[in-house]
Amino acid sequence: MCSINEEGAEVFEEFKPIEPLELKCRKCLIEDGNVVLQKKFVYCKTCFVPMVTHKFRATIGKSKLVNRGERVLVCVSGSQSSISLLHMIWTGLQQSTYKRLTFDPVVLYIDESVLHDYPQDQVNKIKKLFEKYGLTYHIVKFAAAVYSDNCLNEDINVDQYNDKLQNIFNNLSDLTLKEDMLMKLRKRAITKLADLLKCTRMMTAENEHKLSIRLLSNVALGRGSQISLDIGLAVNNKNNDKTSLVTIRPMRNLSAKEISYYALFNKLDDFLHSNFLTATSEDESIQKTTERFINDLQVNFPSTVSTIFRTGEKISEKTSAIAYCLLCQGVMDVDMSPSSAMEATKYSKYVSLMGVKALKLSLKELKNEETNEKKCNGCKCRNKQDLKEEIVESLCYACAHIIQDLESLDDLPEEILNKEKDRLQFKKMEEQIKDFLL
Amino acid sequence: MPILCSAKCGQNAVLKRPKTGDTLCKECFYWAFELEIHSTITNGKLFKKGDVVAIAASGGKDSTVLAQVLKTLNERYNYELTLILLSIDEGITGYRDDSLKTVLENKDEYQMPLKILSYQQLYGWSMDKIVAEVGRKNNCTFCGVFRRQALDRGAMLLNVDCIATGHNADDIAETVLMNILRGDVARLQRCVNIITITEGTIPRCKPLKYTYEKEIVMYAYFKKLNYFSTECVFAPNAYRGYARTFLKDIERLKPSSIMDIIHSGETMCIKENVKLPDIGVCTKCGFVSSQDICKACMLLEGLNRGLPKLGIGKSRKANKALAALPNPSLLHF
Ligand SMILES: [Zn+2]
Ligand SMILES: [Zn+2]
Ligand SMILES: [Zn+2]
Ligand SMILES: [Zn+2]
Ligand SMILES: [Zn+2]
Repeated sequence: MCSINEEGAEVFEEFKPIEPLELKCRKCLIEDGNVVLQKKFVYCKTCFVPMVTHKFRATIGKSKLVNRGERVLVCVSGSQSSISLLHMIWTGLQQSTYKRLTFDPVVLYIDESVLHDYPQDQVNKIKKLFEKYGLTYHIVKFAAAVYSDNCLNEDINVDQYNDKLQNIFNNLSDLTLKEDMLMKLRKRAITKLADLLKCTRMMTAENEHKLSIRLLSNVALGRGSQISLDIGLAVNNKNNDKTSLVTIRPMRNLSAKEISYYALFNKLDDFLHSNFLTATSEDESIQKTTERFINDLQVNFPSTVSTIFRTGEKISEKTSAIAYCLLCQGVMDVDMSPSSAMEATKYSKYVSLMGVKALKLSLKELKNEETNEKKCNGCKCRNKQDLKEEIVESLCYACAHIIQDLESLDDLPEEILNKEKDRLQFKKMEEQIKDFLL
Repeated sequence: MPILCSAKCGQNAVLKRPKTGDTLCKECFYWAFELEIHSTITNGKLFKKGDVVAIAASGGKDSTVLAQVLKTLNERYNYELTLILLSIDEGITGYRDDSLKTVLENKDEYQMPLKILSYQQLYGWSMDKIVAEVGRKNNCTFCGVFRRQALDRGAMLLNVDCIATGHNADDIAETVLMNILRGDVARLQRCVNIITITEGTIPRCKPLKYTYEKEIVMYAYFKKLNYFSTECVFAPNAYRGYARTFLKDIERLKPSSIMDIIHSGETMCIKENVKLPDIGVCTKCGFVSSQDICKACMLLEGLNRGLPKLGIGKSRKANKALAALPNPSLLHF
């Protein structure tokens, strides 16, 4: 068949070589240009910074996302984007009268040195930076934030938590899943801290480029239903019933290039920020393969990133959702009709094990048969297998993949294990009284 | 040491399933492969008893395997379907000549009636003539747009109840990616449907929607099925090529990626406030179109009026150009 299928014609704006640059700034028409955006728009330094700041302000100004005096958790990872976000917020707070930002920022840095090597003085440098700005700030150890409600206490002993956290990642063999798990645990940690710090809004610094990579990786990982949760401008965290925590991504309309020039012109130093993919090659994980794919396309088709990003704007989660994933808090996407990729995958597994017998036996019978085979009397391993299967039932499609790859569940945060117990308890109760419920 | 078949039939395994990683013997693989498609057909309610089904036959591996499997399942599970092979001849020298020969062989082998319709018959233009007119850069636009309607037109002519196409899981996953890359949310939602029903056209279904391309090749290989394999002889679309490579790369990292992407497609919702194009019918030919004048008619108008670039670019521009032209009579075929 022809490589273009019947879905329709494809029109992509291919990169056209630029005309000779006009060297004057397009805004003031006086100064010489210092920055060229999208290979055609020339700005001078003096006009560039306000332009970028304006985009940032427009994004948070939209639909009154933040109320006067509201406590907003500002997540700083040390990346250029996050350092720029911090600078923009600080600048906004200094401004006079009507232009001033009126919310109450609480700056957060999560120290992930338990998982990755960081320069020894990095935490100190970050502390200095925060103090220079004179904003309320907290520096929290990652493991403490994942496992303890007492994580804001600086004297807390984190050794046991550090071990647990390292175990989790050591027990995941697949690099893609490791990174996915890191993202989810980070999010849990931040959500918990927002709650502890009584913040009802939180800001993270992802830019357009990063979010478009995340969108496509999400699709590749089976997280399509969580796109608006992971890249949206403001996301109501519906799982959090006491306070409604809204995530705001004020840098999402800025490109990576705009941010790096902003940082350059304001002389902002960024810090090392690692993850499991740092220093891995592009063909070892889905996330990095996706990144390379998008970057390559972007070279030949400069509208790639913004198109992907705009696609994401139009996608939402199912409004009818009632259940949320125990691990990532995304909508549960596993209640699928028999005619679906998920059920088809289960059936594939089933027929591969059953061969000709597949016609006669049902999936349930196969499971029973399997269980009987696996049973080793009184031994603990059986319970563990059960627990895993039970937990997986409360997870979304993609998180289930992570937990299935995880060798031991012992080091999962207790909230996850406990919540699962609660759910099972409730299910049992329901089972017992179901005949009497009207 | 030989590895045993994971279906515990006692035979030695001869292959590892690309989709699940299970090792199977030849017989058990056939069972698994066919049963999965049977299950896709019954769960998706793709056919009704007594339906006349046109199999879109290109002579390629997907449609060859589709024809073979549908014939097998139809007999084994009494679907009571009448199967017809429907081929479109774009009129590309050296491309269809060989692939149509394959379709002819399929016809004899499976004893199914075959109907071949040419672009020349349907539109008055063969692809060779189109290439002579527009050059090689944009011809894939023509061949894609024309093929979409060609099947509808052909199926209408044959008076069938349904068209079955050979789109496999890889194709669907790739299309999901492509629609994200081009920002087409309406198609993004539609492309994962196993049956597409649009008013005014014959329903189309994809029985191989959950079948991996690698397994299709495997099935054809072990069954020694005859198929014709060439990419389109014209320059393949660069953008789609990137998407395909990307898909292969991530499939290698995680074989379930293809299904994961389809799952993503099946669970994504379009925001309520997003305006989708209304789907109506073309005022010139009466086939489904989101515009007043469908893409095929637009391209055809361009060709017939010696303005072949018309309709390749943005639709709005083309519409304007078309409106400026004296109103042509309705197209008939
Ligand atoms: Zn200027
Ligand atoms: Zn989840
Ligand atoms: Zn076997
Ligand atoms: Zn072509
Ligand atoms: Zn038309």
